[in-house]
Amino acid sequence: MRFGKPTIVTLAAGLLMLTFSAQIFAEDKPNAETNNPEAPPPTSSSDAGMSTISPEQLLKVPVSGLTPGAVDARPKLNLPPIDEKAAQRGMENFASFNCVGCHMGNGGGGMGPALSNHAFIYGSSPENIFLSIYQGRPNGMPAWGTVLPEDAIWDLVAYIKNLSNAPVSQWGSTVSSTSPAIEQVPVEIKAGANPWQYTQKFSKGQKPQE
Amino acid sequence: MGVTQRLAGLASGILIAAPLAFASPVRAQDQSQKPVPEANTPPTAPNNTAPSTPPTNAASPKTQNDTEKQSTDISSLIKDDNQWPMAAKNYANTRFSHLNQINKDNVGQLRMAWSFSLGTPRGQEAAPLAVNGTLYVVGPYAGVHPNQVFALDIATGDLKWSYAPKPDPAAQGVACCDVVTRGLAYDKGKIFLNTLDDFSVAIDANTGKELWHTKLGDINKGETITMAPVVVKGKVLVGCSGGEMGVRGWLAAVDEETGKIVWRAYSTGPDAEVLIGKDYHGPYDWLNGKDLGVKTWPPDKWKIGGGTVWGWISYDPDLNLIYYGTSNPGTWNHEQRPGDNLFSSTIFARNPDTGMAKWAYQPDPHDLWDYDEINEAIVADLTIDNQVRKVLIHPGRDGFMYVIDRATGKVISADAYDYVNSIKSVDLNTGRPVLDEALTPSLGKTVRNVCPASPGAKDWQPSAWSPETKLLYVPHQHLCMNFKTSNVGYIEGTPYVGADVDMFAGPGGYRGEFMAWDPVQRKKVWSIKEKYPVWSGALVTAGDVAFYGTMDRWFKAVDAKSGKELWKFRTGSGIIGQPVTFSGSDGTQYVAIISGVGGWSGAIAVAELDARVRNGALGFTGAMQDLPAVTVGGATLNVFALPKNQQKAASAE
Amino acid sequence: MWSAIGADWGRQPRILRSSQALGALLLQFYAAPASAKAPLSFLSGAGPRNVSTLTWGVLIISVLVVIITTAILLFATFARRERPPSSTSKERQLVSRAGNPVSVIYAGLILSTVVLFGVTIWTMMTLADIAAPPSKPSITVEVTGHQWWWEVRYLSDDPSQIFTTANEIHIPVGEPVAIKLRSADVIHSFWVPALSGKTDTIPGQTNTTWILADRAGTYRGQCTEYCGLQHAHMGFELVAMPKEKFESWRKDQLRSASEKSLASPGQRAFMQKCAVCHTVRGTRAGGRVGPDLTHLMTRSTIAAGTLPNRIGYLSGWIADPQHVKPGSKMPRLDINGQDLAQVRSYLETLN
Repeated sequence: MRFGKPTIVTLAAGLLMLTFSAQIFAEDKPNAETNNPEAPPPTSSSDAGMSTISPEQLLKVPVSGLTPGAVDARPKLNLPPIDEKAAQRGMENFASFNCVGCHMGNGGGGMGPALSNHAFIYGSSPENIFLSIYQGRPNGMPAWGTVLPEDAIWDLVAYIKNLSNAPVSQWGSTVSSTSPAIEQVPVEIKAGANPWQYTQKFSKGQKPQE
Repeated sequence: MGVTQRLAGLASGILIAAPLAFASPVRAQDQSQKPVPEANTPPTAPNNTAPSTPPTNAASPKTQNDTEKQSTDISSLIKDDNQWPMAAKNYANTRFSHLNQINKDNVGQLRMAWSFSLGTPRGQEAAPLAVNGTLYVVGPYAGVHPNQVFALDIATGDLKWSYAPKPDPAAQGVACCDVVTRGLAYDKGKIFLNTLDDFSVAIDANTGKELWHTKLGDINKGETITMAPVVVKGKVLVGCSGGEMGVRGWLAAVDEETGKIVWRAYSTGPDAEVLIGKDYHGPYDWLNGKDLGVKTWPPDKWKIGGGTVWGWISYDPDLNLIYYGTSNPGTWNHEQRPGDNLFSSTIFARNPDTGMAKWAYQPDPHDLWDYDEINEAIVADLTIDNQVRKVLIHPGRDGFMYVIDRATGKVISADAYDYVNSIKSVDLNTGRPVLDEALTPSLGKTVRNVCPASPGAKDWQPSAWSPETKLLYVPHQHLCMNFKTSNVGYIEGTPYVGADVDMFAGPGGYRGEFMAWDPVQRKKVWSIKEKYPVWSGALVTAGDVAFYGTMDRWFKAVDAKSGKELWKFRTGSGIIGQPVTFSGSDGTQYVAIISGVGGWSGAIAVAELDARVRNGALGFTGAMQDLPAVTVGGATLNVFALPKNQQKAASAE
Repeated sequence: MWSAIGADWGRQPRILRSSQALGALLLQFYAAPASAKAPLSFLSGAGPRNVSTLTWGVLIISVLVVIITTAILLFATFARRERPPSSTSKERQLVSRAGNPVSVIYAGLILSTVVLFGVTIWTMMTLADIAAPPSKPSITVEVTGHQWWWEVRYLSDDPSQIFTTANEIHIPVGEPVAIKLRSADVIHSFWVPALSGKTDTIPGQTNTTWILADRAGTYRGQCTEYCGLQHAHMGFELVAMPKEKFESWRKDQLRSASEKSLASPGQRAFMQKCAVCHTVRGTRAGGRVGPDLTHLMTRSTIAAGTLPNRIGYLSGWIADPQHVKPGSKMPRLDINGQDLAQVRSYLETLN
């Protein structure tokens, strides 16, 4: 098969355009998901990505599952990005601001409740978790809103979303001599922003496998 | 000293002067209590030995003399075995009762007399108090009425009154290891309650009316109170918890009439605030010097250095000294606090009148592993090398059984009573432990298989000392751990820990043990291995029965001499409480314990923890992750007695 | 400095002018002795003498080698010579024209070997010399690299003499000082060029080096292992001072900040906005994310040698650290003008 010069030029141009548009697509996608046109730079939570959302708006997010008149009043808010980079920063904040002291490594719970399962007393939506950190909660959760920048709290929310991402095998939960079947690889062996990636056989209080 | 001498003869070389309050004839005079010279005299034999008779160590059970006014003075109540007037039974902290209606022959017939629900779901570490026919119990800081106090009629189980303090629920957020309380105190018709949120309260024991309340600490600094107070010479002695919160530990003496603070001794800081004066003599060179509570820390770290006081206080009226231990230093990351970190993990001897220290001994200088030394220091007199020695027996958190001269603080012997690899031995010339340097944690590195784990070979759960068998009955755990430190910032009112911990069963795969230890022969006499840590206290009686509870819901009675299991009862929830015994006005001997799992070890079964994440509960989740499969929380006071016909048979013997 | 270089420029040989960077660098080193003028010069060091001698020696030898080789190469390239008569035996003709070929190769080989061997031995001897300090250091400083600043902790066997500062190391003149190097995050490298001793800080590992300054002065140090966005702004100052002055500085650093101003609005604002990340010893502020600020006002720079420590810069830094040092851990706080003024006035008391 023989190509004339014009054919090759056209083909090349077409390829170029394809690549270009694919790139645009790729760049658009995360933004579309997080609804944030200006994602923060990778190493900082605090620069361009200053959250555009105010605690006042968040107050409109209900904590109760009961709404008089059965009207679903949950507002649609443009939240800051809750992604892996935010979770990574959130993991650092979790240690720096002593969250780990109460909720413990990988959020297993201690003085404060576990964050490693799907149960959240004051709501499990990102808005609920943000406000729990921001306002504190009466049974011992300190109010961090006056101390931490809001972006730092959003990063914590992203990390907590990762922590609570436990695998689910059924709707309820069974505890018995054979259940649960798995446990996390403990943090002193493997640390990371997504601890449920690493699991092993449930050790029943014995020395874990390595 | 006739009585004492006779007993000393019986004791085949080992004399136990407990309860020690007997040593003072002056105090004995105004007491209605009538000591019975023979230890094995049946409880029905009244004895009118003149009060001026020199003291005896053998308070025998007796029936109450209705014609006499009941004593309400703690110093006489502790000599009356019908009563259990303080958590540790007496100032010597023996938890031994001469009552012998229930004995090793009939304990198998023990039945539940009555029970009472405290209405709370969290850990029950408190001891019930039995005073003049009434039982006083307190619940943990949970449920609708946190730290609620109940007064119940011993014979009938009727509820007389209850008292609920006004709570600040945020206190739960600074309580490191479940929201427990270890009990109440009693003196002169008053019940003394400490709340988790730092109040000391006096309640009229008859009516339940509040007499005074005093705020002793601040939850925003991380201070809480969990210990059982002790009343000595009209002062309620109370310390704070919070060694994991960067608290600067203290012990306060509160006037029992007014609620005013008489003195407060800090565990760290300048001598003036640690109450160290010219009476102080450290047992070793390194414990002598000016302002050691400042100089053994990097600048200002002593202000957030822990050394909290949340365990047991014993008292020797002869020497007029109280003894208690202080908690671990903060943080758990030792590299942030170079130095010996005095006076954390230390046993103090103080004058109860002024609070001034007499001596201080630190079993764990520069603690690496959260080895609090708040465990009980039992006051006893032992014959060691043909010499009667006034000692403290301290089953250390670090796994060593310390026998200490209680006049000077010098260590007489220290022997490992569980598998220990973090400390090789204790140098008796210097009093310092010899550590395994290979296990020293360094920032960011995981140190593996450290034994014992952070709760130690034994935590708060108190031992019992029988002056008859001369054995110490020690409930304890058997755990090892992986440990990784990290740098931690101090943020007021938040934890100050700096370590990821992961605990697991020690060698052999079991996690707890109930043992009898001979402190003279320095060896274990018998032991019972338990699946879970034995987190309950111990009780031993003249009936040669020792009692303890397990976290998998058994309340057990064993032969004090052989450890043979004699009886067990399945309770509603796991047991981490303190067994006690006493008589009712009906002449019946009762044994009582509050069941209700929880505490640091049992938090996994009662708090919102995740069994699949081993590092939870400061690493205790790792060792207890299968506990929720055997028990959940729920507090019940269980009161046991023999059936009536058995009681008669026992009395007729 | 740069204008001076410019003035010299015209007189430089053509060949050097083409490599601007190298020339500038070399000239900077020539511009000794002032550490202030060329703060990163390692050729005018105040450290161990033999190191700079070696550096200069090897530099001169290297330059000579380059010049000679270049000259020969240029000669060989441009020198006129006869065209070879035929395409055969070209090489033979070339070498034969230059005389005895074998002797030239041997001469070159021997010369290079001797020079290289000599330099190697000299280097080895110098390295052996500086491996251990001339006397046992009485002071040990633990330096921890953070993204992007330096934590400086003065160690001691007496725990009450231990203190922490940041981005500024003070040492006594004429005494070797042991440096323990750690990293809190990634690999950094510690280097005070004028005093030598470049050593990496590696996470999970403690490296040790030592430094010695034989002249009082302020020397600039810099992270020299790329460590992320603000690697370039990870500097520090090393202040060498007479022994007595150093002692008084050390005593002063041990002092706690006064708790007197505890209830002041400035302290309140600081506790609220700053204390979870920064420590002010003696107060309840105990954060560890950023530098210890107990004696902030005694330091001459802020943000790890990025800005002079003066009120205007300090205010600007607190108001918007992300503008000055994008990516830094210090966030842009929601701080109003009044709070900012209060925090700043509180910081001014930390001397």
